[in-house]
Amino acid sequence: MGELLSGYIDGELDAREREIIERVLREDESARQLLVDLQRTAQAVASLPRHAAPASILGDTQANLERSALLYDFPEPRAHQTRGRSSWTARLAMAAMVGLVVVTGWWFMAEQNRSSSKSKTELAQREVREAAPISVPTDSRIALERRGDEFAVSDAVGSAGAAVATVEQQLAAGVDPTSFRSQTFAAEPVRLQVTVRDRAEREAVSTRIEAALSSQRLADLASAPGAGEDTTNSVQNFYYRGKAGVNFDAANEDQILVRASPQQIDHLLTKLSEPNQPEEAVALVAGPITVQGVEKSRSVVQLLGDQQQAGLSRSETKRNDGLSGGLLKIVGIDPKLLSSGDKSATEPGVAPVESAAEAAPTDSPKVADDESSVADAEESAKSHRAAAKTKVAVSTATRAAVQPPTPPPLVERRLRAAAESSRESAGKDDQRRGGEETPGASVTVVVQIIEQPKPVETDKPAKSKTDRAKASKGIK
Amino acid sequence: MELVERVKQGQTEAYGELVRRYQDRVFNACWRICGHLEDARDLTQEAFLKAFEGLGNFRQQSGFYTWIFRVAVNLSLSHRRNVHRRRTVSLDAASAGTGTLAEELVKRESPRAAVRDESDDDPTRGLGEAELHAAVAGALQTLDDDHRTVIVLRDIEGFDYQEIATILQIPPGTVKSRLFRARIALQKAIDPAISREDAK
Repeated sequence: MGELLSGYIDGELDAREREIIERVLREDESARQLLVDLQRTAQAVASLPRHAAPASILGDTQANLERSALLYDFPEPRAHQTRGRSSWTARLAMAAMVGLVVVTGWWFMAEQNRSSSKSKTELAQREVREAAPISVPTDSRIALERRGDEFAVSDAVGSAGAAVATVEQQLAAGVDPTSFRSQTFAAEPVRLQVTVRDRAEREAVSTRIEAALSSQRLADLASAPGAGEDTTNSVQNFYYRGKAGVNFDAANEDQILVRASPQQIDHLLTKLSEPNQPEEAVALVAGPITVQGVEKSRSVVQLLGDQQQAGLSRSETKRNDGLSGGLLKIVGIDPKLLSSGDKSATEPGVAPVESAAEAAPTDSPKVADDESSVADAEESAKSHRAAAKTKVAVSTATRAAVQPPTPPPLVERRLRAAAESSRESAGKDDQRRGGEETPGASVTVVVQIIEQPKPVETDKPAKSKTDRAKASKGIK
Repeated sequence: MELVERVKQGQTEAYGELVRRYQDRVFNACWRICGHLEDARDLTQEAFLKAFEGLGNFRQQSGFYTWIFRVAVNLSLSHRRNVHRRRTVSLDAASAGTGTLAEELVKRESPRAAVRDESDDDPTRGLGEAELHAAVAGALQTLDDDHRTVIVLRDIEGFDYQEIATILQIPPGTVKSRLFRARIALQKAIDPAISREDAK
């Protein structure tokens, strides 16, 4: 009866129930009293004051979405992912992303060596020797690169490939995946640091950055040399003003997260370097490479641009408690690579592979239903192990410009399937990025203004794996 | 629904409009469920972010309003369970004290009322509106999570039983019974405060 009374005051009874209750109320004094009590209680609760939501909720939510869009390429909600994307595919994505850390770590080092040998730049390598971020056999790096490309294809069509499982197991051989999963952010952008001497200079630099990023949509950068017309209102033009320690754990920093083209970064470098800014006060950190100075930074930025011209949409770096590893995140294969006849990027014959499955711990992450694929991948890799390593001693970007051998039918089919299935999204991306005339997309960069420069600790011993894991989890 | 579709099509700016539209109500629900304004702010923001990320699972069989409330309620309840920051008054402790639960709550929520209570035995002196609100808000926090949630969704947010059932993923009949029991418990807790207010 009480529940009916409660429903009665809420108007939730049907006609028959209402008739019953009204008869009871006419005849029963206690029922009438209970009704009054219930009504008074409901009214008392309903009379509680309400607060307007703090204004910061809207701004912070939007900022977080923008930040996510910048870092993770999901300007759309995950509705566009394959419905019911299972945990194993998420793990694949994570594994592939971590794998690509290795790829680009290797890539950056290869590029650095190449550049050094040609005396074009004097890229300063720091922290690499003392603590390479990921300990993976050289051969498997090459394999990872191959598989990284193939994963991009698989990911684009929403299916898992054999290579992904291989990647995951190879990673398990040299990487503690949990240390990466515990990162605040799975991938972090290129850093552009500006060291200032005092507060006044900090203000001056901030002003110049503000001038370069004159609105939240980077209107100024959008008009910088080389910027595509259509990028003005696209999501990649968002930037996120991070709090100290948000993007990186160092305190006493101003941080601005930007997605911008290499040309735009170059424009920003110009802004940062004037006037009277010491050349060495500007540093760019891209994976294991740290360069001091505007000109050298531009060299690295140029490398990033070269990657993009190969159809790679963005580049990021990953840092693990001071250990740097480049992350070249391939989010899609540019259909132009297919039409131009460049297929070497997915040609497996050039990839000597160290079987990672052999070295992987038994409790390493597994990919369900992919064991046979793993075996296939390993078999394929072994068959090509004797291939000349020199063939792959160039970046994917570089190979994109080389006339490649014809890929095997399977890879070609997958590439074409990926191109077909991703055409819609690619078209949208192209539109967002200024169409196909705009090569690639952009890199994400964090501009940091550091008031108190820290001396470089060249003799710092490599931290143990445990320490890194603790640090990555925020354990002091 | 048009806004949701736009967001799903990649127009993230449309999500800002959804946030703007519902943030007040979500915030107040979070506040009354978790009991803390500052936590409610964080929970509200988290709810909108989670709702965005999970929009792919939003089938649109119910409104976005219901969807975001489901996310927010779950977060609030989880938060409350996790942090163990119940600022409630034990029914037993209150009844064993010098006064009723409502009086005890009023003492805690309203120093002015507490001082007056010590210096003035006049039972006819009624509680002001603020004291009544403090008593009701405090009593609300004494309810268990299930009961408090249905009260908030029904009497504060005005959802009907079917909507509450959808948000909490329970049968409408359970909503009805929980709501009745919650009101009875609440009525016992705040009855003296209401009576005094009525007597004014």
